[in-house]
Amino acid sequence: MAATGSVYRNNSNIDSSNNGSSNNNSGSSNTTNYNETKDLPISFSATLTEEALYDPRGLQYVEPTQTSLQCSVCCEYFTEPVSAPCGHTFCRACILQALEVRNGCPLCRTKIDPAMLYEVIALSRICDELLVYCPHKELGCNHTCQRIQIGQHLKDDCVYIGTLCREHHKTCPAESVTCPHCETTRARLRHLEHIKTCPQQIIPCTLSEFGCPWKGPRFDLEAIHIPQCPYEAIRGFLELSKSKMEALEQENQHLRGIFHDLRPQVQQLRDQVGQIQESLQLIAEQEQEQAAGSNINNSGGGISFGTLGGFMDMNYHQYQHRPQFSPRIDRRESYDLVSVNGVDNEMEMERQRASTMNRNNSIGAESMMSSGAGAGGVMTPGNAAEAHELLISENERIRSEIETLTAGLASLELKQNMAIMTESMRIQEEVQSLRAVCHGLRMQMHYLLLEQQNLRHHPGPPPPPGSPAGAVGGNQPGLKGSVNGGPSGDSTANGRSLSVSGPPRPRLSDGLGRQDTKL
Amino acid sequence: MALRRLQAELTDLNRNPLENVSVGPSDDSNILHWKGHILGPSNSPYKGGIFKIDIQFNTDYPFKPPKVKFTTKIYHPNIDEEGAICVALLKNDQWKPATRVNQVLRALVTLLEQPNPEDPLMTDIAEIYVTDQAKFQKTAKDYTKRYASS
Ligand SMILES: [Zn+2]
Ligand SMILES: [Zn+2]
Ligand SMILES: [Zn+2]
Ligand SMILES: [Zn+2]
Ligand SMILES: [Zn+2]
Ligand SMILES: [Zn+2]
Repeated sequence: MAATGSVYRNNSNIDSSNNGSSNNNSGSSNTTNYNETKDLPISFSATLTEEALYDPRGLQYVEPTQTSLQCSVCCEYFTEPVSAPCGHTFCRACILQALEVRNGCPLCRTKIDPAMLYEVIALSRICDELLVYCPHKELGCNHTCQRIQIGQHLKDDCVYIGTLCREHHKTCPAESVTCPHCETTRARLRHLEHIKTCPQQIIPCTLSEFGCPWKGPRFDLEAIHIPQCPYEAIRGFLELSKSKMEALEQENQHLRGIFHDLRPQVQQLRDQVGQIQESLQLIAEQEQEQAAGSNINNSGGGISFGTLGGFMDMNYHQYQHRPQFSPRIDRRESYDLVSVNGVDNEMEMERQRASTMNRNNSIGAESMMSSGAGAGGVMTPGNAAEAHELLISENERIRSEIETLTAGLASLELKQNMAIMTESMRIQEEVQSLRAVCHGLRMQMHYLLLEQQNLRHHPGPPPPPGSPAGAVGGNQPGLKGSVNGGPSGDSTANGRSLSVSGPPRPRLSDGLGRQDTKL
Repeated sequence: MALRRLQAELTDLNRNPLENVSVGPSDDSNILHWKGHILGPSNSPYKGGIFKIDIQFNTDYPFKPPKVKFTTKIYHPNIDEEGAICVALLKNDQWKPATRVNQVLRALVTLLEQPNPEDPLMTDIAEIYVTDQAKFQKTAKDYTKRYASS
């Protein structure tokens, strides 16, 4: 409390005692500075005020204000400082403004004659050398320089002044630009915002994407066009159908993707079948070779049995591989599962038959060996004939087996092809139905638009859509033409709607009639 | 001019805050209207009270004085019932453009510490202050307790 009190007392001391002490100051500075003022050119501030570009007291300094260099009126660094006879110093503009309100020193209230103010050159120089920012800092000029040079900068260097703009003339944010639409003028910076709302700018209708051909000034859009726009009335429908169309397109894309996924699988299956066919052909050839060579070499027959067994095994493995593919088909084609399983069952049966046959063969070979052993290594004609017969019968059996196998494979291939076909057919159908839906939507839109146009052209009582015209058009095709009389598109659209709405009505009445009779 | 100087003064007040006084613009959009409060000085009957003040500047500030008043009721020979303050440095004809807000605030604190009965606004209070110091102290304390306690 004592502190604040004493500070206050200090202030009052300054206020009261200034007169005495400042008289000395004014005396000395008066004599020294006054001469200098005469010799030296006026400080920069005067030239700046002449340009009237800005209030020089509004300059922004790089360093915070030091109280010793501060004008007590504006609380800024002195600009063109002048001293009053009382010894107090202010900016020239500040003291003149204060004297206008009331004659008296702003600090000590001593009466001041404006003619008695004299410039404080040394102080002026100190303040002129302070670093300041370019007044166009907010526009983007980062220039700093001594305060005395800022006028020169603004005149020659600063690129952020419209009138002095140079290279970046086309993009200068400060340059004034005249709006080409409404012919008002503003800084480019503002113009970019203005153009978004300029009432005179020519813009298309907000529903131009749906086909509205209107174009005009923004002002007219809200005020005149929107209430009249035929598309605005069915805006909800248009947006709905747009979103629907997008959904359909998406679905189409999805289905196309599935189809593409299926294609390599089909190819794979086809390759598999080809391989099986090839291996079967190989078996058949070897069979023939063997049949040809069996008469000459019995032991060769034994080997070929072995190889045949190997082939059978190979085939069996391939059949075992089959289930790797079938589930993929099963997932999509549940109805095909049965038939594929049928094939599998067939194959299983064949495999069993082949294994029994193998067993028979091995038995045959054993018996052959034993008979050979029984003969003591000597081939008797009886034995040979027996073995030959056995071989022939075996061959016969194997051939028939191969035939059934071939048939089975052929049917398998057929079934696979069928499966692929039905799948692609299904996809095609779906695409077709999507296309039909799109077409239907398009027709509906067309019809609605035409109706809108009709309504506009004949503002009188519009023909109620459907019922009366439908009765006329349906019963008397000759009359229908004369009633509609409009463009051909019009009549088809009407005809279409009639043919759609026509049939259900009698059935409905029939139902009602029946109900009546029942009651 | 007024805005820039007030901005400068505000920055200065924030950097060097006054003892027992807090003050600032009532809302950021209007720097011409300040509000604040003064804590009653401990060597006065206003001790323990919080006195709200309202400062309204004009666009011709600092060439014309701001309008300062107490918005808390106070028993003081130089402050009337409306809160108007009689202090030399705020008077139109005695205002000096070089006077800053912190000087005004210091003057107000001093006025609470040392009332000036020679230039009274409330003559009856001034008379009691001069003739019956004990009564003045008591009433001032009562007022403080009743109106200026939080
Ligand atoms: Zn100044
Ligand atoms: Zn003075
Ligand atoms: Zn610049
Ligand atoms: Zn430019
Ligand atoms: Zn415009
Ligand atoms: Zn439109």
